[in-house]
Amino acid sequence: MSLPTKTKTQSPPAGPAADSDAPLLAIEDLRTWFDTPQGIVHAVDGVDLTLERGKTLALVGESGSGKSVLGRSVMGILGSHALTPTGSVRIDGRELRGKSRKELRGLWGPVVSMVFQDPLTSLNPVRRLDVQLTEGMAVHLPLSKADRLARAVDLLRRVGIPEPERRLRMYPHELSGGMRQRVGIAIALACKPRLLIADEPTTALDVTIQRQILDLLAELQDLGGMGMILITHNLGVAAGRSDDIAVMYAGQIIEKGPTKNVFKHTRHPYTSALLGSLPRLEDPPHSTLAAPPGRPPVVVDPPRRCRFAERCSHAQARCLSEAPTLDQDTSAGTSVACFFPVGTGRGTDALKRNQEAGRTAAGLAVERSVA
Amino acid sequence: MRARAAVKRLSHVIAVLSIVTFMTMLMLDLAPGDPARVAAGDTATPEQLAAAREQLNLDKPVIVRWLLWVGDLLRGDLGTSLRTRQDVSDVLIERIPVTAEIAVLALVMALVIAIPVGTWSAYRKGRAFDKVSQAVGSVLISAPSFLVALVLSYGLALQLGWLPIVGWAGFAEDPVGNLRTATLAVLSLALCEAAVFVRLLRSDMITVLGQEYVLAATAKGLSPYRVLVKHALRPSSFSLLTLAGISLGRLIGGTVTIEVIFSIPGIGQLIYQSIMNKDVITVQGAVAFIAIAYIIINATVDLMYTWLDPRIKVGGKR
Repeated sequence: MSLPTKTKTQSPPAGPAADSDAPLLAIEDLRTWFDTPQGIVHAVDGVDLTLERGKTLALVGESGSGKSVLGRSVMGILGSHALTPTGSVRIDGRELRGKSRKELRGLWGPVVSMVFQDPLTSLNPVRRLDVQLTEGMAVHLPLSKADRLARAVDLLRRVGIPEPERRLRMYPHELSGGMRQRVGIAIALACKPRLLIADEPTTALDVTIQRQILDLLAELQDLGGMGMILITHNLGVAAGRSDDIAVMYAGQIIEKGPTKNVFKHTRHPYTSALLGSLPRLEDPPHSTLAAPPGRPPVVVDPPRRCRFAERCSHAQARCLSEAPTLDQDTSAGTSVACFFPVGTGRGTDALKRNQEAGRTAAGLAVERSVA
Repeated sequence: MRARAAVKRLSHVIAVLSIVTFMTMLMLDLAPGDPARVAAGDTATPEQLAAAREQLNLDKPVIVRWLLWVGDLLRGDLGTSLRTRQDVSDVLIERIPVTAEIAVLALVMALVIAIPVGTWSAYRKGRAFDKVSQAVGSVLISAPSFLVALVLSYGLALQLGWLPIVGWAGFAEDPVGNLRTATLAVLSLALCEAAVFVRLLRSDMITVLGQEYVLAATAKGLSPYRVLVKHALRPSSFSLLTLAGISLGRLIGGTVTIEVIFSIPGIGQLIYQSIMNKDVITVQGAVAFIAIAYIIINATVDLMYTWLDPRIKVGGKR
């Protein structure tokens, strides 16, 4: 009884469609809409993604871009105001869409599991840690109570919590924020999931703790061959911790590919703007960070146009009348949904035209080029 | 720190008891009617009245009478009823078990109804079960308990003949009869309390069900039953506990209308009769009992908060 190791990889739970050739996670045309007083919000609107075993996919975007909803749609833990998602989510080749709540419950823990953003709110304040750690095992693993407790101690030790036996008798408020997030990770790993969805696992923590938690996740993942979706708004986090990256905007993936390619050959003006908003050591003190102006739109009744056009310095008339699709860009080795990508002739021309005009086709003011 | 908290608490208790009993004495003194006449009888001569007045200290100011009463109380003497000449403590000891039984049974029944109904209503917010329970709750909340009592006694006692309409059988002599005579009163009180409990628990539970830790518990693959009972119920129970404490205090104090309707010889009936008779000493004793009961219940509720939420420490804040 130990955590998953490379030699003792957990075999996929038996199921009619379990397929070892299929990728760990395959999402096709996933749409999650919410019925709100403002109308139908297209929080996730036609997403395709795949993730291989043991790999990490970073899902990046601003707040409100739909990343968390996408993560929750994969698990199927959406609130009651969510309309039934359409499209396909397959884990190890098994379709999750259309499964009953009861069937899904059997998968939550051993197949797919989640680390929540805020460890201060995602642990129950009135229950001791032993209960919170072992209750999932009681549902999914054939372990006696003593074995479950022993595994809980083992898990706490793995996530770097000193004196695990003593901590088990504690309540969450008796631990620091970083410790609580370690407990959150231990809970998510309790039933040896095949896929871990880490929803901004470090956003609520201070920087030194962030690093420890991310290192811990990477280490645990290496041990178990577990796939991970790392949801983050921090491109710096994504850069060092992922094999692939998918940039999300207004419910859609607008750029994706191997992490190094996306960083080296950034094509989408949005990704480029996000990168521009990262502070660099070379920058002189007090330089203004180039954040993309405005905020991601809440997508109600989406028009047929590029959703980023209003905030994009490359926007042309075409962007306002036609929606770009996510197409392969062989020169960059990535996929991008843009008519005028950064680093291409078309994109450079578009930006130049807008700079000469002083504004984009969508009316956004652009600084006139000095050169 | 512990000792200081205890002293603080005790001084609080003494202050509450003093104010409540003094106010009772003052109000009864201001009310029309003459306790001396009650004590001496309607046919008393002026001399007898004057003697009674002196014996009852009615010639002294209220504050002095109250201090004398407190002095007797400290010696364990609650005085004798002006009308029946019985020891007030004897009367109370006879009456308290009756009211206490009804109060405790009503509270337990209200909770037994309200916890599952409130929890399920919150979980199925806006669905059929919730709508029906909300509608029934609205009726019970707006209907006074005596109306519910009358409807129940019409249905269960008069039409179906399952239960006696009025009367009371002591538990020691006739346990089954005791429960049968208590049922209507308990049910009428419990339904009205339960309606309020359901509403409160439902709204607190809806808030808790929106919390991240409930989602996290769901995401462990736990059954809805386990999520609701083991994760959501305890954090949803604070207002319910507070209200249940207040309700129990009110019920222990005797529900006058219910005891009168079903002719139950409890505290409520005693107070009602004693006030009518200007039996100041009996009222005073009953009021002291009610105040003490409230204080004990409040202290128990405070202790239970610390059990509900480990972040609360005794004598401290969250």
